[in-house]
Amino acid sequence: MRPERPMSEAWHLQAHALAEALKAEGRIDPGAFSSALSTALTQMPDDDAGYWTAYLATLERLTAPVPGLDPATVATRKAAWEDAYRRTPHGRPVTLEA
Amino acid sequence: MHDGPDPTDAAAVHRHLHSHLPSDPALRVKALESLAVEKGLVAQETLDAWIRLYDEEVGPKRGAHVVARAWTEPAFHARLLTDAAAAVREMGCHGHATGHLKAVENTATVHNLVVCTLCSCYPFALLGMSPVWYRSNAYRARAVREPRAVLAEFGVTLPEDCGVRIWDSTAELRYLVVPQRPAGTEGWDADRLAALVTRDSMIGTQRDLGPV
Repeated sequence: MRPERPMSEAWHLQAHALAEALKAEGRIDPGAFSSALSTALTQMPDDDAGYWTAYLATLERLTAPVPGLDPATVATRKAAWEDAYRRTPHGRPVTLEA
Repeated sequence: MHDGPDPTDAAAVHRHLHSHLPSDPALRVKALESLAVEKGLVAQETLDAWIRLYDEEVGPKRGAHVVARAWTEPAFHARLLTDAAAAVREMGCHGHATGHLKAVENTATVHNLVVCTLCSCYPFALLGMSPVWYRSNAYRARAVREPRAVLAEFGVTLPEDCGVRIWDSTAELRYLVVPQRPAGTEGWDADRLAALVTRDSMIGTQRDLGPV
């Protein structure tokens, strides 16, 4: 089979690290994560992009019941980061503080 | 030298200024991560340590050192096959998806192959990130159904009298294949031997290691 880069985008690594840390802290159940990922993978193309799309969807699904990580809060925070990136000039650190 | 947009094109300037906006999934991860840290669900230091571990340190070299030590220290070899999780903890590899680990050893008549039919469970702390093919539907389905054909695609042709054992990883139990020590390495120390041990050999998609 072909050689490959195990992580083709930085967010793959960040998502993986977050998932493993949340499992280690008992915030999400490893077995439930595996099961949900298995289901999500059946709905994605069988390639690297499909895998990580399924992985992130699984992470979001498993964290949704965690207090503070509900979808509405996460969506608000995502919008805040997007605003921060848009208003921050190149070369400056992007922070949520205005 | 100027590599930015034509400054007279306002739309191009706008696009250039925003060109460092991360992708949608990257922003979703960033949102989750920042909230998880802020709420005290995970420590930023823990996340940083994970990322450093995968990005810079692990690869498969930790697993390779475990295998090489097993080849050179009979007592460690016995401990590894009896209780792999405890054995790898001796070497400082613990916590990261090796809490429940089983080592399975190749012999002249047995070849071991690891898969996760459910998703992509893998001993990250020993082998680094899993390869793309390990996570593919094709490998996950075919490794169990037609292991010899899959092995052949990796260039492994097993003798007729060599059986194949398939180990299906789960979130609770992961596997490390201990490949056979190559002939011609008598007298080599563990560091030199570790350099011969590949990631694929510890998954089971490679059988014969160098130098002979």
